[in-house]
Amino acid sequence: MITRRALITSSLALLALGPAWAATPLTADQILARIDQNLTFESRSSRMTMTVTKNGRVKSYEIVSYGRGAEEGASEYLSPARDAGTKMLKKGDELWMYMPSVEKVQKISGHMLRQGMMGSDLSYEDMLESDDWRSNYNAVALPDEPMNGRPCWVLDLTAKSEDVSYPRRKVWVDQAWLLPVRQELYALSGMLLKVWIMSDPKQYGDRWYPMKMTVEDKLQQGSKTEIVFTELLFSVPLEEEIFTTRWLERR
Amino acid sequence: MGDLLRMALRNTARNTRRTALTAMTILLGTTLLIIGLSWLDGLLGGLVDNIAATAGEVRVLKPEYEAREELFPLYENIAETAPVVKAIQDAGYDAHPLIRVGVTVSAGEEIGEHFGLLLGAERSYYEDVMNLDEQLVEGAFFTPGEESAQVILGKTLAEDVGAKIGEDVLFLGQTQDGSISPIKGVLVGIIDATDALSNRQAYASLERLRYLTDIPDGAIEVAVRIGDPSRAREVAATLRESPALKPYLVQAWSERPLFATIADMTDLVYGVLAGSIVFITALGVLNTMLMSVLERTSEVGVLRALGMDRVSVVFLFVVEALVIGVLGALPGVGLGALVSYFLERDGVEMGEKVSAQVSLPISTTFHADLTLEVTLISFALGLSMAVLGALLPSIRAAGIQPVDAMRSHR
Repeated sequence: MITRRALITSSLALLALGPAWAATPLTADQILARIDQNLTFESRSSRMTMTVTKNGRVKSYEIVSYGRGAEEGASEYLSPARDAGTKMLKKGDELWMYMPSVEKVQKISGHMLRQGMMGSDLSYEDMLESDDWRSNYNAVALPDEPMNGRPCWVLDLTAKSEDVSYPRRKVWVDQAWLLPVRQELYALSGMLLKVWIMSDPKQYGDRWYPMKMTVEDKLQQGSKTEIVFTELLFSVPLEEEIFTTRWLERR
Repeated sequence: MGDLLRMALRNTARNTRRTALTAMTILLGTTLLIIGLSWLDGLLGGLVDNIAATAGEVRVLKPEYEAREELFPLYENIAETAPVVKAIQDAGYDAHPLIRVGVTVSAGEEIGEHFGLLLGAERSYYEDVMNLDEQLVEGAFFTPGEESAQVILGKTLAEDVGAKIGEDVLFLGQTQDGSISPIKGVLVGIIDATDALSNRQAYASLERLRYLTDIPDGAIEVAVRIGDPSRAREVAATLRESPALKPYLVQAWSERPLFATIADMTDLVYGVLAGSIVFITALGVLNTMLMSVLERTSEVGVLRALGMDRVSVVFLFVVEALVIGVLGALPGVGLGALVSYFLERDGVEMGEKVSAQVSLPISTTFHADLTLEVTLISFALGLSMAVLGALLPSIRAAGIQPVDAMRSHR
């Protein structure tokens, strides 16, 4: 009986404390840390569709993707037929691509890194970029602003070094999901380059992860890339070979 | 009149040293003119020929592509070339669909960062328009029926990449959607073209380029070969009337903005060059004629006192100058024509470094183009130099009062 009462009392206390904890204002740096917790992972396996709308043409890709930490990632294109079998491997700040039509592994470097990945609004450089925002950016909190009717913190992120693709980001962080639901990516000149939307979050344990991302390249009118995860698993065991160039050439 | 002519002719022989000097000045001016003008004609003509050989005298493309051509906006393509080709052929001209893209090129196992242009065209274009088969310095031309698996490289590109005949060459380009897209082909031949741009290019089949760019039935432009660059505007105007070509830009070589600017610049240089040579030579003639007039001031006074009018005095000196002009301009034209002939026949090797500075099909060897028009213009300008140089002193001489002139002891 006492145990039951104690349980009810402690539950009520927790319920009372919960909103109080939620209401405790987080510093900009703490918000970044929470975003990093959501977006970074030890390992991840996913299947997604990427739909690219550009110059009035729409092209869809089906992709399987694997990730290990922030430094390693691998993906394989399953469709369309023209691109099926194309594989990409990210190892730190290097990116390799296997092109089945010529049976060749090509390192993507130099100017090619800035090109759209498979013609999308995501550059290869975006793919190489670490999701660890806290290490890469200094954050300043701006006045809160709702996004799609949900309360959001707004952060102004300035790059700590020149190694990042975007020197400045303005980020709307959903206060409940701790996800950057909208990002505006700026060049050093202050020009808006891209708008990146994360939506349809799904909870995995104590992590919220967006099941849909939309990226618009503001330098190309009407250009839009939509990524929808159809399968997503975290903390899965992955073959060691996936993150080697051998895997790229494996059929 | 006859007396005046005889007097003028006799005057030219009075001071042979001065006459020779004036004639030499005109000779030099005429020689420089004929060399300079035929050289400029050769430069522009060579450029036009190279453009015609690499892109046709007239081309058909989407206006949106032309507006941003330097960025290779492949999505602004002619999706279906068949109706365009048919319309051009119906008008009686050869049509050749072309796709030209920027690519990275690598050979063997080494993957480098060599950039080049890759052209995709039908075999007939390479043979009949570009004469690629005649420019081979290594290997062979495309094997009939196996064109899609083979590539030919320009000499400079082949050297940069280190490609050897028989090796696979990999091209990394983009589809019209911007996706990285590779093709590879066996290197069958290396060409040494007359222009540096062609030597930095690679050549593959239209079919392979259609695959690379993901434009299955189309092309970026359709080149129209008419065989006579001077008719380009007229043919372009005719083709514009074809309903199938209405949505597209039909452009003669001389209407392409860059080439139109070059043609305008050449005209300007032509004028400035001719004007400068005429001016400097006329100054030389003026100097010697001024001396001649000064020496003969008292003689002019006597002639004026004997009843010669001012116009006849001017005529006397101008005819004298014309005679000297003919004496200088004739050998000047001969000498200039001789030098221009050798410059036309052998050309001057400028090397890849010079022509590689510009993204135009400029030949590595510059040839002059000696024409009858240039020869006649140079001769006429040679005489003008003499007349211009003589006019001022003779007008001055004619204006002196006979009494003042006779009082002169010069």
